[in-house]
Amino acid sequence: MNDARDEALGAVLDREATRIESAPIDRLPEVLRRGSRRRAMRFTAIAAAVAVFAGVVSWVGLQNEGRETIPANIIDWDTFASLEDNGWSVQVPPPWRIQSLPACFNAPRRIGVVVTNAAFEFHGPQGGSPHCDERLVFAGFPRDGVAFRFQPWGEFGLDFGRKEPDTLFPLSPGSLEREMTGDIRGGPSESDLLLWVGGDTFGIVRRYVGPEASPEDVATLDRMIGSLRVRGATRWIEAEGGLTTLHDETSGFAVTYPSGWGVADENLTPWLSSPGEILSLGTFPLEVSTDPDDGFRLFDAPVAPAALEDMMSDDAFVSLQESGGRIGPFFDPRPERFGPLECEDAIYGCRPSEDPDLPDDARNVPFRGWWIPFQDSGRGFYLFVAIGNEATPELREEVWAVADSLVFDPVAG
Amino acid sequence: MPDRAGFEAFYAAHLPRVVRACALVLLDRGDAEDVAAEAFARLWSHWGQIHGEDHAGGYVFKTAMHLCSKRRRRAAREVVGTVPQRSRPTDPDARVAVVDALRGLPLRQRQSVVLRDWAGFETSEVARMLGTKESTVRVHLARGRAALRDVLTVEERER
Repeated sequence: MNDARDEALGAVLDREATRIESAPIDRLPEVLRRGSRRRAMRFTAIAAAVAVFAGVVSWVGLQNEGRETIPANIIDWDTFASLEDNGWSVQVPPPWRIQSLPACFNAPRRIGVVVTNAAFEFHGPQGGSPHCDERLVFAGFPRDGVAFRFQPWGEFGLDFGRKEPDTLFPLSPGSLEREMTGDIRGGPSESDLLLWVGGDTFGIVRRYVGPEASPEDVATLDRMIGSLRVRGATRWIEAEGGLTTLHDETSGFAVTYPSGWGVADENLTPWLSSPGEILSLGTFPLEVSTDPDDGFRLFDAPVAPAALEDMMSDDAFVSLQESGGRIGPFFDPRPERFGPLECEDAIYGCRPSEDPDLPDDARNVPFRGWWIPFQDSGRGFYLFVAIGNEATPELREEVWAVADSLVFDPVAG
Repeated sequence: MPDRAGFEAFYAAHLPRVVRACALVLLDRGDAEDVAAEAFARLWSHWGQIHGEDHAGGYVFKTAMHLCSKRRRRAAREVVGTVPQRSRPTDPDARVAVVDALRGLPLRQRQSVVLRDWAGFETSEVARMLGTKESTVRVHLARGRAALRDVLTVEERER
């Protein structure tokens, strides 16, 4: 099929386009304000935390000069801090420099740390040792340097607004959000992540990479970040043989999925309480719906409308909701294997497409979906599975394998 | 702080093109300006992480097309029962004919034609912007162009 540019058609469209007067740029202030607000929303919690703290300054430099090689096995790296005493720990490559940071006043046992591959001593803006989560001065930091900083804290008594699900461990570089460091000319890029544990913020992880850092040092840095453990973490993943297993102690389940899939790190339907969403994963970026009308509405029970709106015909999506009420006869026992229901057009909930009660959205979507109530381990669930109309046979198999991999903890009591 | 001067220069240089692309897709100047403003706001929120004009241009077009899709779907929900009419051009004014013909195209076909034939993006870039496969874009292009051929004929006749 020819996909060369159709110049004649382009010319017709261009004549039409040029009739559209050049757009005024007087909306620039509004654009800047909205953009700045979006950026600020990502970092408001972090900034508030920084403003609150005024901890005791103390740092301990532990240089490990003379130990040049990094053991291949991370178990042979040094362990800094401990889960029992400090509530967290991290594995540090022996030759790298460790600088202990003071604990915040409201969590005296939770010391912080900054680790770097460079012979560089960090200090705060006033020239002394950095306070609790105080900004670090990077002037003079080597261009090939990398660094990791972790600052845990305790309860603030501050309202951070909407709570986030607990952070998924181990951390990966992709889970950290890039921060702007335009004030450090030629300095390292920064990305960070606010950790949530047990429904509260636990601390903040920061990753710094100099513009000329070697791939080997960056890889070592990321292995170190991946080794961070915190006490009480309820969501963690294990990877083996190309498959990833997510364990969620809060919601009491585990699920295994292949590469190419991603788990939503937020509840995609925060306005839904019973049933409540406990898991969503898909092959495309999953967007949160701010309200039930924010995206596609396919069924009487809404399922991640904004995410479904972004689903393409070669994608797949799985969402699991747990019933908050008594398990009635509506919930069949879990089948031995999940699979498409025995009806022609399951996207319509097995209703004929001409059913006048169907939402308009349900009539023209690039996927088919199945809504499967079932019970397992004394708990009632609604499984929603959507498969793009152009999904490969392999992906179709993966979808049902993901559903079959679900393992549940028994209901408490 | 991110480079505000750089962003403002990029905004001034590229806003008209983004607005026009959105106007050709949404066929509504006001909606197009709103969508373009939001797309540039999102670009500004990531400015500093996006390097180079090509990258920024791709980002803002991709975001704008995504927002066009959302706006179109919501508009369709709000006006229940209205179906885009596939009318043949009857008005002697070619502009009306072009708009009518574009309105008759499904959204994906319209986006594909506008991005490829008007904006000049490669098919692979269009696929990335629309979050779909190149082969799917090629299908949209073929169908969209076929549906617009009548308009092209009208235009040529009138010249």
